[in-house]
Amino acid sequence: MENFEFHAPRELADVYALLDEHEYDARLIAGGTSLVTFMKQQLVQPDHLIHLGKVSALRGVDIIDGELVVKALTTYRELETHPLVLEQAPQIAEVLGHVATIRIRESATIGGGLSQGDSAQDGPGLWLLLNARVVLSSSSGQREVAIGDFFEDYFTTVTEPNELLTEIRIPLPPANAGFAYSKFLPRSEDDYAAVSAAALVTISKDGKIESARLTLGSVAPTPIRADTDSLVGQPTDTPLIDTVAESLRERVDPLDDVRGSAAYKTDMAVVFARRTLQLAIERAPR
Amino acid sequence: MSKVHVTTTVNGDEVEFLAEPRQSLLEVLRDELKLTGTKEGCNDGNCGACSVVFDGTLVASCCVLGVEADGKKVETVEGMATPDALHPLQQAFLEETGMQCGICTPGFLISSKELLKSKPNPSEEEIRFWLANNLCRCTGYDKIVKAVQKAAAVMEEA
Repeated sequence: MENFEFHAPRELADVYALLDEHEYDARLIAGGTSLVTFMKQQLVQPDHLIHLGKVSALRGVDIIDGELVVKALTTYRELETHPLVLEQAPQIAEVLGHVATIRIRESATIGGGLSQGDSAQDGPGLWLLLNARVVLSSSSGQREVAIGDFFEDYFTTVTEPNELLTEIRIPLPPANAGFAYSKFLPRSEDDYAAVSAAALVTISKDGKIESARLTLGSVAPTPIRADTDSLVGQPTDTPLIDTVAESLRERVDPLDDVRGSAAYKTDMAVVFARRTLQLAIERAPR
Repeated sequence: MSKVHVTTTVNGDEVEFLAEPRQSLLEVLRDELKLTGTKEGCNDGNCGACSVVFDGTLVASCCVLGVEADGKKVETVEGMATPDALHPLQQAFLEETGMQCGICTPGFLISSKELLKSKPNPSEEEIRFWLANNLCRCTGYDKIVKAVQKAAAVMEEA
């Protein structure tokens, strides 16, 4: 690892000042589970490392106006086991339980994971499914960005070099929604997915699909959302489910790697999209 | 790049050291503080050999920077036994032969200690889930799981 200057500010204002001063020469470190590895591999070599662990303003989980507000330094494990999440958004706990291993989840943070911009992680597809928004803050104020606009490319987000992701706002999923998350793991349980899919469905009183959402991770530079509008008002066994899943074949753009060829992952994206949607429909209360 | 002065608590003792920012906590523990019980395995957060407790949280010390330890509490395998007796987990690992080459053992001991702190009487499934953090290439895990069960029983009686 190359050496660097280490900063451990306590106040947000000091973080912003450091970012303003060092811009592209600085990197922020939270849990460190990815960044430290990248630095060891010399994929990232910052001159200044800004440690966020002492900034208490970046901690906390709350529900405000029907939204789960998660500050950036909340660890995966904290959120996965948080009483508010278990009561009001158990879907989040279910997905986060699939992230790496418990030890990694005890260190890795929600804000760090988002900022890394890796669609192969479990978070991005989930946050997209739940229509979350992130707050990017800097010395000149803050802006809110919809998750759909946040991820730009592999390991690239719209965060400017002077900005810090301070929180994520997640509208609580409807209490009567059926949810499913599938993570296709051809290798080991703690690996990144070859394909991941998440679906959230509500069924109306007359037994028709009332709303349906479906997102995929690991199969493109950013998480992707399927167009599910055609399903609304349809019966739960509509053949349009196959059409929606099949339409993703043109949308995905996976990498050839140890988890499978691009062609195989494309086939699996369609399969897992269909299964996950069907499972969410099955689980939705009638 | 100048070294950073760090004050931290390791196994209950306040210690100070000078670290280069790029040194991991694992390197600081082993090379600066000479606490070589914590082992390096994969050095990228996967294998669990370098597990320590960092301010009450189980972490891979290879993925934490030594300078991040300032003002924190670190617990390593060296803090488990007393001068008079091994920790019940260490005793049980010995009795059940929960080790062969021993490189993974400190990580297993620390991880198991954290498990028993939150779940004093874990099921076999809970033990296996929790210890999925830790890789062993010799024993095949059964003896390790038995050792944790045995230690849990001993600690419940105590």
